[in-house]
Amino acid sequence: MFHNLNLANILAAGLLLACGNSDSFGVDMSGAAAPAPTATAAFPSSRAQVRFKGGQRLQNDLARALTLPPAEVCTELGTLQCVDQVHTVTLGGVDAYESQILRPAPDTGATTPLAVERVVLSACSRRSRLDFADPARATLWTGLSLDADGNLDLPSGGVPTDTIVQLYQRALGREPSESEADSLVEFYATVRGEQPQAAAEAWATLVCFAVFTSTESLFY
Amino acid sequence: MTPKLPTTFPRRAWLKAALAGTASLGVASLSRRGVALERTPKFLIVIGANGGASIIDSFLAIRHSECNDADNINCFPDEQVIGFAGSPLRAVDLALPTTGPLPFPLDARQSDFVRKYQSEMLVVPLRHSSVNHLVGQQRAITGNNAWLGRTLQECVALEYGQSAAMPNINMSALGFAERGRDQSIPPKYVAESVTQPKSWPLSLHGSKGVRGAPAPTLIDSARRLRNAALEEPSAFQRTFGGSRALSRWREQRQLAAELESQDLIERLMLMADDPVQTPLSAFGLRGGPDYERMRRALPNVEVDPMEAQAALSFALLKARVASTTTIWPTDRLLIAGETALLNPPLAFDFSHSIHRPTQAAVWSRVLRVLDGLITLLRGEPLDATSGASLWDHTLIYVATEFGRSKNRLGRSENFGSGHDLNNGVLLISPLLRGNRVLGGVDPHTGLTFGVDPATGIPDPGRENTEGQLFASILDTLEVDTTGSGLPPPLPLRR
Repeated sequence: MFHNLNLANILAAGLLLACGNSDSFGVDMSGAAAPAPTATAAFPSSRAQVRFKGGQRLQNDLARALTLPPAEVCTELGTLQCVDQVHTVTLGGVDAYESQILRPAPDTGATTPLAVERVVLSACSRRSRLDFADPARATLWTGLSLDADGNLDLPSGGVPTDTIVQLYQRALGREPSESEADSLVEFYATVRGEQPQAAAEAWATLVCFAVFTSTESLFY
Repeated sequence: MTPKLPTTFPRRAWLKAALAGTASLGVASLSRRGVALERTPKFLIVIGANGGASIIDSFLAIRHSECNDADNINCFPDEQVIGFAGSPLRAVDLALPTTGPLPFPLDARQSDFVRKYQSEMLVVPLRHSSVNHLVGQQRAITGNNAWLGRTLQECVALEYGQSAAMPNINMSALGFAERGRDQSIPPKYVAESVTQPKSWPLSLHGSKGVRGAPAPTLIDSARRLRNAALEEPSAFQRTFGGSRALSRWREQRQLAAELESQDLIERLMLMADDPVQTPLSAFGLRGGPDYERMRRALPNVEVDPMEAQAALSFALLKARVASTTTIWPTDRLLIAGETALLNPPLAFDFSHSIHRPTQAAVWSRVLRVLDGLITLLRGEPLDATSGASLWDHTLIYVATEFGRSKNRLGRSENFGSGHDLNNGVLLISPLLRGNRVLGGVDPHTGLTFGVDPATGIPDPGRENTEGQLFASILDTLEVDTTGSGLPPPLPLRR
């Protein structure tokens, strides 16, 4: 008992020290969002084992992050639930009653990446559509000024980065690195170049899509 | 018809000569698989006839008058067993007011199918090795682990599926959907599970049909941004990028691009454009180009999951997306329109409760679906020049995990049956020397027997094995089994 207490104290002290390290990827007890990890501080894991989060977690994470009811995250053809009906097994689920699939597949399937993209694109598109249609009630894409063509009104140049920070906090639980934020900001010019109108909403959908379909978002 | 290789010249020697020839032309030496790419493809369709599809309730049926113990052996009133001139094959035609306890009339006619396809049908009496459903099903497709535990489907996919996007599609479940035990099989050739054939094509594109999706070119730009600017330099990638899961994910993303480029979401679409149920056009999608043709051959495709599986099988083979597909009747009770029984619960295994109507009903359904599928395959050219059809290069294997017990009491028509190792399976293909039985059945016991493998002559003292069947199917499909240690194949080939 005595030895166990001592061990517990040591472990607790170590945890506190780790939390206090500003370069760590750990839990910040202060309540603020975790800082962006630095790539130079990352080392290849000797036992790199990650798992795909699966359809249910994907749906729930998108619902929470994008403030959507789970049933509105993704439907196919307007009525068929993506995760619970159409892509259930593809997204790592089971279907015991209809298809006698009793266990999830041990690995992701050939069409899993595409099914994931459909779910994420559907959710991101819906969030963008809601926020841009009613900016007063926007929950993610807030504080954006638009011109008459639905493009970002950029009097002083540059895309506001607040929304990108918020996107990362919701998707990955951390802030974006400088290079990540810059890349997403610069991407607006790409979108604007291909889409003369409503470029802002398209950009919002696409950066949401890019972040939520990244491996950091999909695997744990 | 594609020219047949001379049987006196060993196939492997021909291939070696071909390799030597190409080398002498200064062409970089081709691997064995490289030569295979030039070969005429062959296709395997496996029917997972789950629950014990009894061969003596179908193509080796016994008449009362032939059995000296008709009261206690599973045999039929003479008029229910249909024979065919010049053929050892039989068929069972029977009509009943109900399907045992299930209040649906039964009108099962196997004779139509046999009459139409007997020249391409071959029955292989077989001794299975397990009376456990899942184990027996797995052994039915691995030949009881005859070749490193590989499944037939993996072998065919490996041989013919290198240019196919998803060579091995499996729409069944349980033991028929298990991957083989050979972990050296590359992931591409392992079964890809498809559970919803009608809606599965929606997973073949990342954005088409998604409401509010930006233009495809912008989505591609976003993907490139994600891969290069967000993922690659990230700490997550640097830490875990070497994991098996992420390596696989990267490969699957590359395949995804290929799937999208082939527009398979529409080419394989089995849903009709219905403004209420499935409003494809409202979402920028179109129905598949062969939908009407498939509906004519498989009229219950909207309500019968096995017909939908068969339709998708045809579409996959036609599009060269797959080299092998697996379908099955499902385990579920299926009723169409509240008046017609499509499938009893547990398929053939409902024979525990009521053997005869169950066997008749499920065999009837399986054969009906096969008829539709073969019709589609026959009507589709293999290529632009050979004059051959897809069917000419396809083999259908009606796999089952075991047979059913042969006994009954008092000549009853209402009896249940258990699992039995003794049975037989059905193969159908123009590649086979059909209209044969590789063995026979003892009419007094209901037990089947095999052939002398050296001569092909029926031998009541022998039973064909799962390993022999496995080797024989691969031999018929001209899959290279060098070094496999498989037993010599039975004489199946035409």
